[in-house]
Amino acid sequence: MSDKRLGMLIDLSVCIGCNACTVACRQENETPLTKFNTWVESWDAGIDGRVTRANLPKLCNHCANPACVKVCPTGASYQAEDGTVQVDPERCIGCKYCMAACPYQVRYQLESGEVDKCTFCHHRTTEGLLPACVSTCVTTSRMFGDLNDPDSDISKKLAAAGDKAKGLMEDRGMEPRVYYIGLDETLGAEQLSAVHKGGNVLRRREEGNA
Amino acid sequence: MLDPTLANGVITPASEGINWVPIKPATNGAFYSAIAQILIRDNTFDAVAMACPTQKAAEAAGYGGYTNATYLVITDENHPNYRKLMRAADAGLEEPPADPAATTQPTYYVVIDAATGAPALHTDAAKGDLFFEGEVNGVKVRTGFSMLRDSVNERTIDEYAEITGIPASEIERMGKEFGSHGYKVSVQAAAASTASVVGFDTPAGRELLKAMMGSNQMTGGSFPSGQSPVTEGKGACYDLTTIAGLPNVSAKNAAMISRGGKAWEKTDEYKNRVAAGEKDPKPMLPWYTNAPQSDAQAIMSIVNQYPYQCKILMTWMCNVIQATPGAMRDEAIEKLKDTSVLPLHIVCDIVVGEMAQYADYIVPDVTQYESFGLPTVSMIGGFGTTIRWEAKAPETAKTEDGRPICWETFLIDVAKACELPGWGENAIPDVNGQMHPFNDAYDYYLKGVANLAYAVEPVEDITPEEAHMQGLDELGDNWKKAVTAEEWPKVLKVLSRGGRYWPMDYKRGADGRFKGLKAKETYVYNEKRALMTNPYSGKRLSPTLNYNPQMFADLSLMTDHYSAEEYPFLCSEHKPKFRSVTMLANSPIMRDICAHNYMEINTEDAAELGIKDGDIIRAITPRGDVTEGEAMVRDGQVKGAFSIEFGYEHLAYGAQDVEIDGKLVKGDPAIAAGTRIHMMLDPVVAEHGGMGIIADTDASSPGRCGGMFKIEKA
Amino acid sequence: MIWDALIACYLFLAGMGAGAFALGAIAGWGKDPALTMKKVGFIVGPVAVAVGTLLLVVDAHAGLQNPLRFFYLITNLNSVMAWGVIILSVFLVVAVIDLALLLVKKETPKWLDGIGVALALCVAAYTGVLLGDAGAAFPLWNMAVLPVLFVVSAASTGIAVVALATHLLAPAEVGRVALLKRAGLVLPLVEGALVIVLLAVTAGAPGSAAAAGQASVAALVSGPYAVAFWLGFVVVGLALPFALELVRARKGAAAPERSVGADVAHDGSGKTLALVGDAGVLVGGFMLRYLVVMAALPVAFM
Repeated sequence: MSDKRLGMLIDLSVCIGCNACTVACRQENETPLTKFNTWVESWDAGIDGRVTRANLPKLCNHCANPACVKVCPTGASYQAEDGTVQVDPERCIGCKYCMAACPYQVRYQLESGEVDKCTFCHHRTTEGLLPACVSTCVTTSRMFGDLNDPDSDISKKLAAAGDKAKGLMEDRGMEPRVYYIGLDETLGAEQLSAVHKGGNVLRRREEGNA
Repeated sequence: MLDPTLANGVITPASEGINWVPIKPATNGAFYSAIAQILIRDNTFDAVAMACPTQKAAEAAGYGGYTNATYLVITDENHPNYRKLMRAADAGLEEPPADPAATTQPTYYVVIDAATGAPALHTDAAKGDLFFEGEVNGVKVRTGFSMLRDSVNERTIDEYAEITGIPASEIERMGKEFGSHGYKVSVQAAAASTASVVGFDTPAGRELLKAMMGSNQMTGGSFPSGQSPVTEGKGACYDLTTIAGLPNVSAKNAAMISRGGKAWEKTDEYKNRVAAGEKDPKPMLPWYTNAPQSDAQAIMSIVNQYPYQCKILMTWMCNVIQATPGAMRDEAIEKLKDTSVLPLHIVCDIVVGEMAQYADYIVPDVTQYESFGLPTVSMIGGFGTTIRWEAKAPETAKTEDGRPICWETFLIDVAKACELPGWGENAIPDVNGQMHPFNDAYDYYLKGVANLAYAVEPVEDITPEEAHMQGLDELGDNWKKAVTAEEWPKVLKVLSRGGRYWPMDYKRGADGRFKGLKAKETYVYNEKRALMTNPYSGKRLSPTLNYNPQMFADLSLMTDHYSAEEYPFLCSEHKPKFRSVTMLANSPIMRDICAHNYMEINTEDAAELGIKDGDIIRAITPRGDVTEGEAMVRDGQVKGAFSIEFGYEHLAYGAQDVEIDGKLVKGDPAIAAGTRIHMMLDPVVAEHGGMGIIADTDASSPGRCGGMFKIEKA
Repeated sequence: MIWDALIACYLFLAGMGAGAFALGAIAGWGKDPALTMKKVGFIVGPVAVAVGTLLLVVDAHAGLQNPLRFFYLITNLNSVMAWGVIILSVFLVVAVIDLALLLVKKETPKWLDGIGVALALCVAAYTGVLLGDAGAAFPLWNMAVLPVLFVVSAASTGIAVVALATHLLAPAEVGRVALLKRAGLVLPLVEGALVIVLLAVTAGAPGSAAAAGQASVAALVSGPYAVAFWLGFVVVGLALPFALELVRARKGAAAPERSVGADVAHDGSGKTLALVGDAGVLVGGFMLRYLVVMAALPVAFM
């Protein structure tokens, strides 16, 4: 393993839920219709008597302790040198164990049977480019870089954020490497509308809290 | 952020210092009046800024703009100039001698000079009296500001709270805060907030509040946006605006087909009908004395064949019939299709939308990646211009000489065929007076880019290495021929950067103001509005800011026609994330991310109506127009109004089956998904035999938001 | 749903096959071996497990279209599934050899039976561990409870399928295996208790699993799967076989000197009760796998 550890930091205080990331990802990775490598969940959120609109971008968390890699019987799911979680389609039999094991449910099966998901735009980052979602983000809500390099922008912002930067469902034990600023406020708020994935209803209002 | 709907933006649980305040659509006049009332009541407005009667006086006092708040208004009903601002002659004051060199002479208004307490020309006073009411030269007058004070005090804060749906305490809080930062405040309001039958109140209130705090053209206040060097005009290299041999045709007496800019009494029709013995004739569709051009009103004129028949309609990249609220209905579409109503209809577009569907000819255009443009980004405060250029070769068919078929090619070839001046050979002058050809899009836009490249001070040449890295060295002779060999590497430099931008300091003066200060007047008293009479009722609108309830074309209240109890709901539209105004429903990706829009309705309203999230509901106007869609029950929607994202519920645009050369091409119903607001037409216009949209009776802009609805489960 | 009824069938068949094989082996060990029962167990065992495994292969679309990729299956020994592949394979080999010996030589070495039973236990437990290792994503798939529950259910269903066949083929043998007498009463109670524990643990899942855990339990007991759960699993799968077994036990107690003759004497009603009870256990066994697969909700979407 190299000492690189790629990760993402999403500042929820400036995410406007525009879904430019969703579209850029779709264009860049040519994901099939109805499948998403990244998406944004949005809902009305009540906090301190105010009504706000929560926007929560989601994608593969490229966990340091990924269940998907552990459960994959063929080694198709693996951690790359840069710490990212990748899928080798040539080894994938489509057993879907990884899909079941992922607490974030970011994986999906292609028509051809293989399982796919966000690669952190591996094909771009290895050429020195940013992932498409980061590159296109109009408010620079998404930040990307090497978590092991203390001088990287992401490391500096993470250090400055301290306890405020958190991963999703850290108690699942996956050690996610997508961090969010403002996650507690976002998830702690009262849900006051249906949750939309893009513009489609993901969960109706009655069905539990976000 | 005041908005009927918590739509797109950064009001998230994680963002601090910004709140969403729900406001009912079509009530902005009430909100602005309330804030103005508080500023006057608490004396927290900037009385110095408001009292500067000229730009000169304002700048001398450290401000960037002035108002006509101190100008005297003739309030004597018997005076021939009643409702007008008092002129020097009305006051018996002498005007300075006219400047023989000037083409137009200034108008001299009258103020009470704060220094002397005596009437003076507005140009002679450093500061006017804001509150004067009395007689000048025997004429009853008062200041516009004193009238404003009365008009914003027509209602109490509690009444404004009731109208807007904003709690009085919240209005008070906002009023106090707005008055507590000196000139470092501003108001942004545009788009749908101006699109109601009382939409004029929005820009009027916005400008008033900015002026009341002296914030215009101030750094940290209402700083001007959208400045750029001259590109498509008389620029540093080329003059793209002067047309040699332009025929001298005056449009001064012409009537715009959208019926704006002309009082009904001034029209030929009115005069002819009076001459024919008709007493007090009324128009079929309203005329708007002070309104600018309006595509929405133009389309209604076309389908009504009033005030005259439109024989040739040419539209480029727009879908007016869908974008005009209430217009896309069978009666209107039948007229558009009817060649006896509209003999020739040419559309240039990249898609075949509802408008193009009924055209006689469709000229294919190119997409934004295949075309040029030099838009100044108006919402960003800096100085500079963005460039859109042909990043990929256009995919449309080509002319015989190899040019892509597009809007520019069409215009050039038609203009040349008609032998119009300013096209073809020897069309575009450079700064040295030499003439250059205009035969394709490059000839025009690349000269605009050259103007930008040489503006202020010329950019450096692009290095061959960089040109090669970006593939700019592959551009062909058709590009290069548009500019000189010396200009070319600088043009490439600007293309490579996607535009040219100056640092903010370029616009910020050391004195805390905009460096390029221009005269900026705010009307506290709107004389044009004061003099305007309604073509149907003869009634007038308030010349100072106030709250206007929703009205029909004759200024009668909507609620006088229809029961507010039966039709208690308003509507509003907001910008969609996954569609444009009329396009993008053809994109499978966009449809995948968002299949349809929703009828967004407040949680408490929904509970009262027994509506659950996901129910199919209907909003019905008193005239029977039905908007039907899926309910989104949310707290992010103001009580008393429903809202939708526009751009949905297409009739055509690939949603419908079409027959092409005898072959049936199946439509995709997914393109038609969602809903659009089916706004009622104006019943007063209908009484006069016209099919007219509800609209602002001053600005003529369509009543997109507001209206009257009842909501029920489908 | 990531996995569906096909995988539920596999989980059911593997468990039932393992249970059947184990029972077959045990039936052959006593002083008075029940040979038909042994044969039934030895046939049903490998066949059910093999069919189940085939379903797995069919479900793995990418592998089905590129069969060589199945050779990668034991690459990652951190994966429960890789171990499952090994366990299933070895079990099938042992079970088939054992069956061949039984058919050819009419007897099997006890040590081989022992290995087979141990492997059968692994197969049964594995189906639970497989789901359990995805428990971080699906709170219903509890690693502590599910393997035990599936082993118990495997025993129930294995016994049921073998008993069912034996009742039809050689009714006299049924009474010979002492284990069976108690199993019909004990296993449903144990299984019921384990399901209660599973539901309780799931409903009480902490932290980010809480909402999905509660929703999964609600889906089972009062939601879209409530009918399948209460009727298919609890009534048909547990209560009915237990009640019938109770009736049979009472009848057996009424004839304390239970003998071959006595058994034959009340053959008519007793056999029907037994057949119905066994069928109920099989239905319940499938419903358990189906419900655990289908009603589980992921933590991500709550």
